[in-house]
Amino acid sequence: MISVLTALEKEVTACINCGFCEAVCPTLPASDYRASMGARGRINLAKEFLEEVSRSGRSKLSVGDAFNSCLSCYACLQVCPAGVNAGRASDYMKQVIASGQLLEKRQEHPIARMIVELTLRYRDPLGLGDKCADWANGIEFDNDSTTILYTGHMYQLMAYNKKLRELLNGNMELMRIGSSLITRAPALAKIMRGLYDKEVKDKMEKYLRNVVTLLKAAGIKFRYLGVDEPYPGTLLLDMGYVNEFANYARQVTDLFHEKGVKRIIVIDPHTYDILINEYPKYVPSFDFEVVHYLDLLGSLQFKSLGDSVTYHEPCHLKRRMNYDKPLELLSKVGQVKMPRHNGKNTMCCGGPDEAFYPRVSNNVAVLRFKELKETSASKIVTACPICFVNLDMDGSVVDISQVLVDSLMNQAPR
Amino acid sequence: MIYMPIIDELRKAVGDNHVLTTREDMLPYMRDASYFIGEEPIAVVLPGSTEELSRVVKACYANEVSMYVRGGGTSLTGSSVPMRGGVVISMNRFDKILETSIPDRYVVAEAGVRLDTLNAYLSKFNYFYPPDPASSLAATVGGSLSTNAGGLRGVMYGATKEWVLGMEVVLPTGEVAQFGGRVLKRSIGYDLTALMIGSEGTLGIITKATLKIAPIPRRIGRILVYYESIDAAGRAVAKLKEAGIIPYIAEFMDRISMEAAKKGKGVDYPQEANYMLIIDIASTEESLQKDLESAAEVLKSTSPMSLRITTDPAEMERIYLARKGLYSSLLMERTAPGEKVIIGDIVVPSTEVPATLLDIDNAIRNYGFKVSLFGHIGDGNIHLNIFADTSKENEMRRVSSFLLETGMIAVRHGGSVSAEHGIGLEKKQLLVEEFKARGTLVNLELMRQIKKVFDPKNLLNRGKLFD
Repeated sequence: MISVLTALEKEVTACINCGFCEAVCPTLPASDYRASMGARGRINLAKEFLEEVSRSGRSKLSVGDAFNSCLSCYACLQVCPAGVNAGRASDYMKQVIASGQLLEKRQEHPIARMIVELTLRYRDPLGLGDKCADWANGIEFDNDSTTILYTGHMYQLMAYNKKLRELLNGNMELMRIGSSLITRAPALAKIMRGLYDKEVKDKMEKYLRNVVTLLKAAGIKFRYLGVDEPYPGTLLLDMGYVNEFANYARQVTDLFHEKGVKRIIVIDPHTYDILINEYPKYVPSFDFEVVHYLDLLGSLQFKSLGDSVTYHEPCHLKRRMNYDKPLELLSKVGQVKMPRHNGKNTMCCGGPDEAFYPRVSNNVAVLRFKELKETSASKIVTACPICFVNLDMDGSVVDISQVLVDSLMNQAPR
Repeated sequence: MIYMPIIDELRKAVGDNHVLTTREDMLPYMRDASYFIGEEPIAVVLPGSTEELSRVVKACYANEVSMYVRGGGTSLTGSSVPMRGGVVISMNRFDKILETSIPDRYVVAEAGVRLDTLNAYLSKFNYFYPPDPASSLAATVGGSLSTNAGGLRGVMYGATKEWVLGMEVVLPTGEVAQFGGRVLKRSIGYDLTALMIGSEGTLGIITKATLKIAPIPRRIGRILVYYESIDAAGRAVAKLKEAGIIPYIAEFMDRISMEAAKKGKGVDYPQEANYMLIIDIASTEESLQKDLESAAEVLKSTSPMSLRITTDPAEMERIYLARKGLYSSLLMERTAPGEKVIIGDIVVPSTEVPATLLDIDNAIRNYGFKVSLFGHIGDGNIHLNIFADTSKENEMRRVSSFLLETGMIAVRHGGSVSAEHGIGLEKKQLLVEEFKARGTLVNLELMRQIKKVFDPKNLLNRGKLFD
């Protein structure tokens, strides 16, 4: 905890309170401009927290919502004159919150412990188990390959997230009760296996099959771990459960080694980011090659679809990975019109808050959706399942895998 | 004063969700971009419409509760910080652009619209709203009007006051007033629109403004000019203006700022140079090269060490961002954790710039502060960026003394202690000293009387501008 406090202090001391971060923080307008829900406000609270801890060893502040709602999109970092990353400050505070130390009241989000429990027990944050492998039924993989296609459960989770969000409707008390029950009796998580949005499930499974189609067309050999595939543990780290994440990441790494894995093909930005940037920090034996599936399609001839698209750049792909392959491929397929916030200044879709603060998440999504529609492009293309589900408001949103498959078959985008 | 009834009234006015009373929620509102820390308010209110705001203000007026208005919270002088026992009114929810008329050359924007957002919108029409303070990413329409914000384009376009046609204001009594309107000119007695500009939230709360807009120049080219001596650099703009050339921007940087821009943004400079100017010339496609060459000829007569013309968009963008982000580059030069950069903001007529810079240079030597000079030399505005530890009382006393001395240097040269940042808390004493030095203390008395007319109970942004 000392190192977290030291790192937090270093981050917040540099702040000059100019307000630039606040101007680009998506959760600020999404929460009706409540300053504690914006980047600058979070830094102010972190400073006050540090002062209280240094005075009396603990802080009385109630800061759970302020920091738990941070999307960690790092938009703030792009504009801060002093190089302060309010998102990283939020990450440190989430660790403080998760540890239960230094704050007088426990301030974890109601569903946090449930997610931790289910991830550690079932290797999936909702305990979905073998449901995450349904999409691959009937597909033949190259079972001798040392390359795996790793979904990280991200596409699959979206259908269940959406349903839960509808059912819970941001009701914190309901979340607390349900989460508490399941944490105590994890077997109850079985209930969630039947709670999904069918339309989203069908779409997500189609997009995963698209990825297989594209990779096979490019001549790539790979296998899929199926029901043995574990979730990478992204939420553990995102919520600040660093020790739990470290242990879990070691287990995932060991599993990959046991399965003879040498190369991992990833599909979604969060998994890509965590395997490249975080796993090696926590697990020294993580020595696999990690590659995004779009990087393996060089041999494919994509034809122009004669249409205009706008591309929503996911935070984890663009800001964290500086990865532009989707844009490069889309430029071959159609006219690309970028929204006002693009490149390193891309705007978050609100996705990371969808389960925790659905109203804020939805408000962020609406802001971003409006901006994307203002380009007047026919389609909005995403390269992240979380972005897809959050922005899919009028049927004009499509995953990049679909656009590429259509281009390969030279069809109008579906 | 009884607090609870006022909070109930505020909740009735704007809804429970838009009245913040917990310490955690109110903490961020106690500070702005200055080094001043305000006091905990009774509540923070976030109205979403003129009607809601009017109800809030009426409730505060009836209960004699002071009010502190806040836009982007980007004031550098403490203008937005609350004092004890007050209510903070945040105008952030007023974030819509309401109406645009290109033929009539105006846009109507609510007070909470950020300036960059406004210009991103107007760029679709190839128009823009010229005032461009360095804080334009975060600064709002209401706040920028309240301080008569300037910026890099001030040399060609003037400050905010040249670009405001009208506004809607909620007066301290809660009454809603409309000043000015949609026409480019009118002559109907006292100009109440102009009176509001620079009033820093002490006369009324702006809810929306009708702003004049201009076409985006077709082409812009840049001349980078490097100097050894400060007075040679200071002569450049006056020479250009004498030749009938008004730059689009005319910026000045000293060696400390050039070095910071090089380290922070990779913008290099000749090693022997002590000062540089960035002179932009706006023109048409056909005339740009000729206009740049004419300006370069004039600048050569000021004996620069070297001079370079560029029209490369990527290079120009890099330099523009380096200049606009100069404050941030300077921040990276801080050597101690508690060190901040405090900004002085003087202005003098262009012809007085060389002599003023020499006097400022002497003052810097006398005080021994590390000070970087950069600014909008085009309209005689120099920013003194003083590296100081704001937690050390002695040091801050010396900073105040230095700000006073350099402010008076500006006044002696026919200028002012505050070009564009306003007065707020920081420059209250400087304001008095400026009027004293000019023998115009009557101005202060007139301001006090005007304040009494608008705000007889002195509830709006109490303690700012003057006592």
